Amino acid sequence: MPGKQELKQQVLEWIDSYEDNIVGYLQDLIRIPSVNPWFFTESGASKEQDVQRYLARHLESLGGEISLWEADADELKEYEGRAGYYAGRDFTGRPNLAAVFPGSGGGRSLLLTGHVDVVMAGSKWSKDPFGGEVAGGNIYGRGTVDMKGGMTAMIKALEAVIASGGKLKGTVTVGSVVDEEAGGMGTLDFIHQGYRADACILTEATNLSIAPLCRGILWGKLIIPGRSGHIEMPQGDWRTGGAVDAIDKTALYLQHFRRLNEDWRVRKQHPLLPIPCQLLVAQVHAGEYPTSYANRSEIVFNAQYLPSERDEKNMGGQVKREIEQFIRTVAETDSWLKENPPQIEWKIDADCGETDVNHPFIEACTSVLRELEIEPVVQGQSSHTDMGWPINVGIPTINFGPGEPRLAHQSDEYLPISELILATKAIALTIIDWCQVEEEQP
Amino acid sequence: MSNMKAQEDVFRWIDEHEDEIIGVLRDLISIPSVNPWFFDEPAPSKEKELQEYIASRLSRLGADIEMWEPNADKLAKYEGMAGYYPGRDFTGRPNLAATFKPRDGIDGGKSLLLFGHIDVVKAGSRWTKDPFAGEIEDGKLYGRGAVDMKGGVAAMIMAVEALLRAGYQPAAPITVGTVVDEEAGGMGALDFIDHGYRADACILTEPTSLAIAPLCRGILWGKLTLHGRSGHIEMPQGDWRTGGAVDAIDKASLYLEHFKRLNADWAQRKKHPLLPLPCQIYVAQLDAGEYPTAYANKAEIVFNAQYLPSERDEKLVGGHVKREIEEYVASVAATDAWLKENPPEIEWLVDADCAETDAAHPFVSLCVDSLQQIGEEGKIEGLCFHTDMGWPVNVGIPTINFGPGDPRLAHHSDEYVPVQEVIAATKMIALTILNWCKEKEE
Repeated sequence: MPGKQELKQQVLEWIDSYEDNIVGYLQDLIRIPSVNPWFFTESGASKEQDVQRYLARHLESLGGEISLWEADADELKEYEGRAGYYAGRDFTGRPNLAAVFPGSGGGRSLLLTGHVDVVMAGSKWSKDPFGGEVAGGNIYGRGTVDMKGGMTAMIKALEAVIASGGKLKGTVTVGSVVDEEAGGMGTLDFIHQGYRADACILTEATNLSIAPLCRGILWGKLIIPGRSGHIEMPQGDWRTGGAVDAIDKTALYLQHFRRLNEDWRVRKQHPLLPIPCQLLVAQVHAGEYPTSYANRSEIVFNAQYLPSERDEKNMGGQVKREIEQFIRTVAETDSWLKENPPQIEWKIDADCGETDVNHPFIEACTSVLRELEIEPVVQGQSSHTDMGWPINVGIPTINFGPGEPRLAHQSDEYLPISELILATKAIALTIIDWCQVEEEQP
Repeated sequence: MSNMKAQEDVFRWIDEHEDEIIGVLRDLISIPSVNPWFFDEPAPSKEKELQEYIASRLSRLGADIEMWEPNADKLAKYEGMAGYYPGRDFTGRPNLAATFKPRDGIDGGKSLLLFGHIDVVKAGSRWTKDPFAGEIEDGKLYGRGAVDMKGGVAAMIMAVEALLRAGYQPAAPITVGTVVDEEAGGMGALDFIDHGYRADACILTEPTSLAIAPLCRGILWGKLTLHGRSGHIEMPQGDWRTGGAVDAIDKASLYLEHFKRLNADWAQRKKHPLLPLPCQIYVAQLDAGEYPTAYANKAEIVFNAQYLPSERDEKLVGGHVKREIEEYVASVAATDAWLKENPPEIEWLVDADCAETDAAHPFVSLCVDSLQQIGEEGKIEGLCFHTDMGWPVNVGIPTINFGPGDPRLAHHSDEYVPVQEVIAATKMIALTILNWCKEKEE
């Protein structure tokens, strides 16, 4: 039985010599187009199942105890109003997967988790989005960054430890869930099933930085009423039936949102985040015909919130109220909007979580990176990940994974092979350090 | 001025035949002569059926009928001028001229062109009445085209008919000209004038709420495309020079602010004593962004800008004003580093021309007098929107717009014209014929 340092050396060598195998594994995953059915234009069977079966076969061959089950929305009713719960969502043919590798005892347990669904390919690709092509040291394809690269790294890390003869004291659980890209119900269900650990790595793409927090994300649609009328003709006051230009009211809100963002820029910062929370307008649609004042305007916005801003349900309720109040305050300044108040439809509340940066698990992760001669960067994730539920049930969780998160959901999404390999190594060493291994008594 | 007996006879005939006059209007509305530009699928236009109805009615009264289909190739010399659209197909879409010549040759009177279009826009949604039934309720006649402009066409046809059936003959030629394709560019009117029809004066019976309108405004539709660069809205974005995202909605907001500034300037500079409001550039449609997690890649702004007859270029269209707007858009872009290198683009969609007849012209005074004779105020006011008056004026025919109906109801659901306005317009036009063309009792 090798000593710990010797084992680490063997694991790193295994990973180097199995580079092609690791790349091939990711290519296999990319070639199964496990697009979240939320993006389907026609109904069809989800390919999430095919990825889960592929992973299950492999993890079973490594000695994992496999559970593969479909989430049942009715069983999750108690989470009404909380993150990831969508009443009545159908998970037929969309199983979650857990592979438990029991430790021999005395170590700390670790959960390695991620999602297997991807967003639709979209347009403007110069490569086959489901081909897994390798060019210039990069692997291209939908999901290379978000997050089949991370899935590959965590599974191959565990395989490297096992193949190198490591006997883990702490239990390692590999959790692979569906439906992250349309709400996170897969993760909610996974945690509901009772899977727990002393720490968790969610292998979302972080560019190999350690992300002990993410931000919550709100999507809202603001509907601003106007009153249509001939744009070339005299229009009386709105009180006597005159037209009201919804685009003019839109300009008012765009201005005021800039003002709000000035305020948020100061108030909504976090020492581990590179940017403050903002309310940013992503879509505007107004007007129907060049001769009419716009009858209404729809503004879709994306607002971020900090873990410290969560409400009693660990969600963005307080921030929603803050935004609603701001929109009302602006409406109060305008006689038409005062009597015809804009409406907000909340589309998404993607939750967040935060692990104390001083937790020993983070120390364990940073020391592994130093061992690999990577200067550790501890930085929060500006976007949402599924880390909320593990943290909610008390599992110290970080995001750590290969890939540039800005490439997620973009055309020509790609992952540098060197980063995939480094992530695999870092996770493997973390498994050894955190879970501990049986060593020969000297 | 007219002899009182003729006026009394003709007015009495109109009063006694109110039902017949309104019946003609209902017949016109019941033929759904929707401009094929609005068709979802290709189909024969009903414009021809309507022209045949008018031809047959006026032919029975003794008119010389000419009905012909415009030929786009023959109009190629008008390239760059109002109403010319290369290659437009007028198969089954004839123009019509019905000319009443004095039996004994011209005898002291002046010739008159009564002019209008018989195409209508599509019915659209939200009607509470059948748009093609001509239903009457509370003295209002409902239907697509009641205002724009079958009310006017009915009034001008029945004014001639009233005169003839009351036993009078004009001393100078009267031409009733009805054209197709006004609602999609005005090529019917261009062709009618190119065909050689001329007169000493012209009434275009577009709806004016019974005011005399010796001018209209030119209308430009343009689409301003602002380029941004898409990127993840929740993530840090570097400077655009190093590949960072650029928010096209932010640039759209910049232009909305600047257009307000331009409008303040235009409000001073672009006025006309006969117009109730200055020319402005208004944004009618704003569309930007595709997905709540991405900065908008581009923004499209459709605007409607009006111009005065005095602003026309050498081709009698809005070229000068287009240049002015283009320069303004470029000057705003010059204030922004990104826009300077990625200039916005303007696509010109419509240039609907305009014209002006001197308000001091004797024909205008005569029309005012006719209006006062039927108990109206005789108001002279320019039209804020475009009509087909440009081509008659361009070839030297003093032209006014005058017709029943509130132009603000044009193109709207539940478009209606007050029955009494149609009758009043019929009387005013009949009286104008008597006074301008001079009558001879049979």
